[in-house]
Amino acid sequence: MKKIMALVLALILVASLATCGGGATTTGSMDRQRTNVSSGSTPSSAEILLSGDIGGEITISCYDTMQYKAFLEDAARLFEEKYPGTKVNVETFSAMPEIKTSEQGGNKMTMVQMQDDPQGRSDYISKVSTALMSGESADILAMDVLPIQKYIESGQLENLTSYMNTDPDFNRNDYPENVLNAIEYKGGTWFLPMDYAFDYYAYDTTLLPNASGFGTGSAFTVEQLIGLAEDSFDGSSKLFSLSDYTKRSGGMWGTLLNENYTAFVDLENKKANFNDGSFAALLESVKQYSEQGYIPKGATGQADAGAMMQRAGEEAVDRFFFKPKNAFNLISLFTRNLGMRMTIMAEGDTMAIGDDDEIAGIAANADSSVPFTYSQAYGINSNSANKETAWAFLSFLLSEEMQLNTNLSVTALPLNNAAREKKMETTLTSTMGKQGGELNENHLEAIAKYNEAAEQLSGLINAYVLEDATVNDMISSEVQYFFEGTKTADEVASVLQSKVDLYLSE
Amino acid sequence: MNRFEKVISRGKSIFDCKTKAEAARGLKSLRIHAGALFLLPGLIGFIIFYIWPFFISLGYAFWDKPVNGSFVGFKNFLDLFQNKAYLKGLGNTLRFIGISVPLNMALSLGVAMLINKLRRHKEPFSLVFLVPLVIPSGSMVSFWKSLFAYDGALNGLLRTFGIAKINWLDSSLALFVMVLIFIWKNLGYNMVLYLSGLSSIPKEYYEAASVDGAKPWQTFRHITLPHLASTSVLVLIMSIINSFKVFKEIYLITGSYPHDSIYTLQHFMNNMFSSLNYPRLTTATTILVVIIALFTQTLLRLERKASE
Repeated sequence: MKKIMALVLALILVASLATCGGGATTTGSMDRQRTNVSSGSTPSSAEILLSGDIGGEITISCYDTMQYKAFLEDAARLFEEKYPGTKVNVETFSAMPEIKTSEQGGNKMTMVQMQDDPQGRSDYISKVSTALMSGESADILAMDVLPIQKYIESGQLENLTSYMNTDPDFNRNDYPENVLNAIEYKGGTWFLPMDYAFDYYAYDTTLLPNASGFGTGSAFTVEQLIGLAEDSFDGSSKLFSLSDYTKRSGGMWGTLLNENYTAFVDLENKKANFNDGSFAALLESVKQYSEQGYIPKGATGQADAGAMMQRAGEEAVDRFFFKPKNAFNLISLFTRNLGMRMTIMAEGDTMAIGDDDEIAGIAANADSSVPFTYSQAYGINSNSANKETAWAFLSFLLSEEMQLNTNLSVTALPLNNAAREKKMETTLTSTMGKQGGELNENHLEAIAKYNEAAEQLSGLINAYVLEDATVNDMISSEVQYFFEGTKTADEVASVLQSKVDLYLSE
Repeated sequence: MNRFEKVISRGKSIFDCKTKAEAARGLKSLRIHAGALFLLPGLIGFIIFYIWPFFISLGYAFWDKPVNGSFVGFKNFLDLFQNKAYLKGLGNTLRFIGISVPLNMALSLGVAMLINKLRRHKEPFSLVFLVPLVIPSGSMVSFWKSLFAYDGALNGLLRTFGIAKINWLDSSLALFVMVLIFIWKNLGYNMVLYLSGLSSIPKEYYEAASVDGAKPWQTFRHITLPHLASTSVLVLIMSIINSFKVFKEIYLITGSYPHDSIYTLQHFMNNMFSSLNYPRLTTATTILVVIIALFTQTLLRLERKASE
């Protein structure tokens, strides 16, 4: 033991001497290299990288085997054609969904059923994390289920700002500046979304005929809308609807939590704030809304989308003041009166936009910021051996050609400005083509209105809320006790303060 | 000639010795080398699976990232001592050891003395306290959970007496739950060690004390305790080592982020592994190894002095 101790001390002494003598230099003994751009790379190092040839093999890793995989495989094929000598491998992890086909009245129906698999996600994260720690991970990582913030903090993701600024083929003006600014974290851009989506509220014009202040230039929180509509609520009519772009499943509680997330969890500064009474008040308010009949009984807690759908089918949902709608998207809003059967579906579409619904405004957070989400996003592994090709592939994914790919989300808006302008037209042309028709003047007018509304709403975006899955799990499991009635709101808030604070301080 | 052949030839040469002293020296040398041979397989395994990985991981403590990292000297160590979670884990671990180890030693000594005084049925009583040692931790977790849950059996019992429910696992009372689980698990082990220590004290000492009119407390203080000094040092070391093992049960009951009163160093290190912060993990491990090594050395030195 003495000898081991002596050896430990000797090693520490050696290490300390090395620190004094050489400063922060690398040694060959541990096989470390400094040739790559580190997470805090400078424009000059990006220049060096980008001056290299695009070639060789890169690998992209994603969890999803449906949308991500289809989009990436298309992109890989086109990229290899564009840059001969390159090879792009796409690795996916999740199990293939169950596909059932049946025939009804001569029509063939295909149903794709995806099961939520928390264990599968966890296994994938472990696999990627282990690969990153051993330096064997893929060159490009899809930000579908991975803990983005942890990877940024631990330097696993390459800072893309210098690439965006240095690459002559990448023009920032081709993308909405407010969205690019919103994804910056700690002074860097660590991943790039392929598209963006936002929630918006619609109101029933027959029930609120004298409403003012609504429109594509407005932003509201749920509580603001409830405040505005409380006088008009007769206990039997639904006044507002919420789009379901961002998969904010979980009913009223999920929506309110999202709106106030940054007030309770400050990931950047590693602080938790559940103890000042606002979290407990928020919990109590959800219970209150339920008791007042504003929302369905039992829809207070966090629930999965399937449970929400089942409940929506069982209950007379129109009774309620506020109700999330599935497949309630801008395209269906602007095509509802065109007499065409739209095939735009999202997550088991059963409820479409009402004839009397109009846009009330974009969904805002309690701090007045307007957030967005994405359907696909990618980052570059900071230890990738082929960063120049990885960056070339990433910027290729943002090209107009790839941004109009049908495997990218139908409802989300492409990040590329030119593609976004053409997306509605492309979608409608495709739909009409399938139905044996062509676009007429009404269609073109709807497209123009859609583009105008989409741009106005998009212009309000100024935030991307980085969430932490561990914190979300803590909140989810504790909040459950409140809705079950086994803990008070203050008890839940106190426990969360202690746990989240501890987690963030690690 | 390899080392094995040298040992064999040395063994043969003993028969050629002319004096007894020469033969004794030869035998001693042979014993040492044969001993080394028998130790070698275990030593190789120990080096490969413990010492070598420790030194590899020690290297990470001086780098900012495991792959393509930069050498940062003692920065990780300095950062660690400013990390709120680490300091909380360290403080809680010391607090837990400070409460549970003396309590466990006192209780196990008491139980050992009681069993030692029994004239009949010693074995069944000893067995009762040894049962927790052989029950797998996993199978006990659901029991502890259902006992201490907010809607668990214990709170149900309290309610029948009109007492309000207590949040056993999500309040500062969680520490006492942890101490209870530790004592339940380790009492029997320490009791066996103390029973063996008690059996080695000559009965004549007690008889002489009785003849001299010594009271039970005097007998305990002047005969039992001094003769159990070396056993107590062993029990202390084993208790401290076992106190780190209680993490398994606590982790299974309360998860990665329990109430902050029972957040220990193992929680911190386990979470650092999950969050890919290998440099911080290995820095914490290195400090823990140094602390345990110094502590064990000090205790063994004290034990040697006490036995002298």
